[in-house]
Amino acid sequence: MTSTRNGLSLRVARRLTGALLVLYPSAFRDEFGVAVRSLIDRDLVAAAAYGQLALLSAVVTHAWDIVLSAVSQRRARLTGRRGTMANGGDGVLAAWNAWRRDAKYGARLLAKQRTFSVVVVITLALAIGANTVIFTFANVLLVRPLPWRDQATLGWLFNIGPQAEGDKSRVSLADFEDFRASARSFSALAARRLTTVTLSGRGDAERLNTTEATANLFDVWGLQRVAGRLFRPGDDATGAAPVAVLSHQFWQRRFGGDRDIVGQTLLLDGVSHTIVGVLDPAIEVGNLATIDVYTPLTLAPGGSRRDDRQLTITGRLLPGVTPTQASAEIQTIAKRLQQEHPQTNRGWDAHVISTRQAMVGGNAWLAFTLLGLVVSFVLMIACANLANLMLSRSTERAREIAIRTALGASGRAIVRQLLIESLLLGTVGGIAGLLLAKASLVFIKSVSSEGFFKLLDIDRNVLVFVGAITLATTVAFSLMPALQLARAGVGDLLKAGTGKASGGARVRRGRAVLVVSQVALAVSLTVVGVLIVRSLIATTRIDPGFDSHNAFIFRVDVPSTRYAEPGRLLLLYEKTLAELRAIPGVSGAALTSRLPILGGDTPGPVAIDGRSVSRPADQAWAVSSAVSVDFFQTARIAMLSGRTFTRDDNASAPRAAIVNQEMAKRYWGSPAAAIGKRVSVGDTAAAAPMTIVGVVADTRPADVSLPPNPQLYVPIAQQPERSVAFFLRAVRAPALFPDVRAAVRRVDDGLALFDARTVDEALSIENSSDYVLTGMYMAFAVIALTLAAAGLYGVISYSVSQRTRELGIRVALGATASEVRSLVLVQGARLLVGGTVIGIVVGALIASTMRALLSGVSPLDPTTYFLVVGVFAVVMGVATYVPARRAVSVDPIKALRAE
Amino acid sequence: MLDDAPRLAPSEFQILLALIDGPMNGAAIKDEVARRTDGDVVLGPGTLYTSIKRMLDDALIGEHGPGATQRERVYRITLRGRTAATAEAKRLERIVAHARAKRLIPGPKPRTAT
Repeated sequence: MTSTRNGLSLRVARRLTGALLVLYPSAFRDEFGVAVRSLIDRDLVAAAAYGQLALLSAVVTHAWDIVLSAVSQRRARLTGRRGTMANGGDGVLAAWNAWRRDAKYGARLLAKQRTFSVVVVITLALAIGANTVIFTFANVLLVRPLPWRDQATLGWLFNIGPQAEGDKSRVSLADFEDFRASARSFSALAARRLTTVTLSGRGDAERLNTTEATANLFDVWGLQRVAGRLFRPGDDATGAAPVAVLSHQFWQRRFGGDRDIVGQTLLLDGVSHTIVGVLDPAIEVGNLATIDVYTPLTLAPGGSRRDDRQLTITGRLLPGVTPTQASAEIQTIAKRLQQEHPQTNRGWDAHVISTRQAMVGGNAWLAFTLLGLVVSFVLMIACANLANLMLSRSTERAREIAIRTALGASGRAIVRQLLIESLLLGTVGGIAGLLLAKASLVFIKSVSSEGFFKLLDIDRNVLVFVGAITLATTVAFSLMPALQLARAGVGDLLKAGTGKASGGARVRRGRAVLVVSQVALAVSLTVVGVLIVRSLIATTRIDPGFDSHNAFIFRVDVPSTRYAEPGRLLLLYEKTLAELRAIPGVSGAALTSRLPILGGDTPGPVAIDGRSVSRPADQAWAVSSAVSVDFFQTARIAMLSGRTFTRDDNASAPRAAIVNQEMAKRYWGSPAAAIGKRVSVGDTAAAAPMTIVGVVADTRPADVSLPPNPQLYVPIAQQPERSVAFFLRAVRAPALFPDVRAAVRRVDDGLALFDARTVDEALSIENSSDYVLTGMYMAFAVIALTLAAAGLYGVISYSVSQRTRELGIRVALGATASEVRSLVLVQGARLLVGGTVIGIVVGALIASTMRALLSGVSPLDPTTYFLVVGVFAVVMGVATYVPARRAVSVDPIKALRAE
Repeated sequence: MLDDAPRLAPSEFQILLALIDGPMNGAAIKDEVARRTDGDVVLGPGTLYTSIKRMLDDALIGEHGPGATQRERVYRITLRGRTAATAEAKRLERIVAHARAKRLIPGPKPRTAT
């Protein structure tokens, strides 16, 4: 507990207690306010020396003291009565006894009024549970420290690509070395690259997730070792002996945590690496938890191309330098690189962002803010409901309280009694909310595969949050009725329970405002929720461009040390495809270097014959894939023009290419016009030109809401790639894995396959976080709708019970059943219409700010609004109709007689 | 005259007891009461000053004058306050005597006629 933390808590404590002074009459405040404050301050400072818990306890004690003395002060002013000795005196011991007595009495009373208690607890549980779940999000994003040491002084360097790659594009090795040489804002810059290697020589060949990194990565990140050592300067020098650092989870999983593994060797892609150490498990957060081993970043043979962008850069900022300042410097360097290397760097900017920004992308913040707004609304609706409930209940208990007051109970005792009951309910509701949140988190984690959701947890921060929000909510909805009751004179209280005093115009108006705001909040929430659901549905309806059902995929990375000669590599592929086609049930097998939608969308420049490039914006580009002969038939991508690849398109044949419809339209005007034209990869015509032989339909990029990218396909025989995905068409796709693995083993048992699953499964994993978030919005909207309906029902039925006498008189004077009913219905309708109109406007406002989250549906989509209004009309209609019917069944004789 | 004095709340009685020693400000009253009762009676700042206000209104205590700072007022007991405190003490003494008579607590036995 540092001194600044203590100072902060003290300030907060002072503000809290100071704020409560407003409960005193202003005359008292003027006269004694300063003195009270200074005494409280003295106690708070003394308590703070004993720790946070003591400070909290002091705050609670003083808050209680202020509340009680304020009540008695106000009572004394109004009734001229002094406090009595009915409570057995002051002092801590007496107070404790009084609390215990009231708690027991309150518990018994609540147990008898079961409906009321259950409704309150459920309302609290729903609202607190929802807010707790969202707080766990905030906890991970904002509150909990991440594994890097001093993450505020880390800067994350990204390229900003000229096309749809976003502002977190990776950097090339050549650019990295230029940044490292020129940048003055960092004390160190480290680079890393994600890749996979095959571990062999220790039983079954296994595919490992690897991070290749510069030797200073662990230093920059500030991580510790668990065994052995981490990288030393020089480990990544050319010609240095290959070393490897194991991740903690891999070390446990594969070697059982055996410390003797340090010093032994691992065969990675056929190269022997010496294990030098094991890394701190703290880094295993989110996607970093999947890394198995770290190896030094090595140059590919023959140097690397400046446009080969695979590196993620992290740097330790110099003291006093902010990410924004570093970003300005990096931008200048990037501009210089654009001029020095126009062929590779034209249009590529760079910037530096903070750790938090690097962890979560732009849209995620928007979604997260929206969720926060949504649960706040739910909480407000719940509080309004509870306040109304408490008001009704306190009015019902008015007689009991009046009698107690007449017998000598002080205002202090009454308030204490009521507050204790609320606290009891609040505690039960808070615990129920916590359990509900825990269950929801378990459910969310089980249906989503996104690394972020795995981080969600109930830790100490969340528990403090639950406690604080429970206390705040309880006080909010119970203080007002309690003070109101205590202030009232005995005569008022006795009258309140009957039909004579219907609560006064002010109270009725207060209730009406509460209900209208509830309905408004619920309507706006539902509008948002329905829009999001429609957006999701629109996304799933988008045609991916190929047949994703009954399809099985897996990936293979052939190490460069094996099948080095292209001819042998192609033969390997042929043999594998043949084995796969022989599996019973498989109707087609093909391969591609990049899967549609699931593969990355890294674009590369292309040079089009006869098209000159004068500005960077004119540069043609496309996403390239190398495919086997029958790929389009197997994936069922429609052929629009020309022909598909055949066996004749081999290494010795003229180079052929197929483009997609988007590319054909963009660069040649139409699919037919593209046939026969020549293109080459790279931005000069120096690379071997290819002739376009066919045009296929578009497939969607990874983010299906974006328009399709220009795509270029080449035969794998003419561009042998080592990292490929096999695509199988089979009706029994889900059960295919054992046969597939056996088939691959038959061809070469040193070949490790990975990422094996059905395409539908892969796509739903991609979309899973969207489903989770959408589900959450809808759940909150439903909760809001239920609470608002309950609120409306409560107010209407209470009003009916208060108007019993009046309605009885009307019936006696000849009003028909339907006239009585419409009286009640009209009252409800007025509240409903008012709330709905406000809610629609608010909902539309919120929707227009979240346009970025809605794809395929407009924020002002009329269908949505009609749907929401319709649903609310029905639900609220029922909520109003039931009490209206009860109003009709009022027996006029009984009503007139009731006193 | 004893019947004219208003009934005292326990916190008010404690404050009057403290002021018998001499005038003091609010903080000093609070500390004296806590010390004298060994922490059994702890007057919260709110309770303390609302009681002080009530007693000022009922003329049980009065202001002695500004204290160390202009804001720190010093209070003193009044004649009426002394009267009320005496009455309260005597009332409590009577109640304790009843308890002793019923052997609830030990004490000097009432004189019996022998």
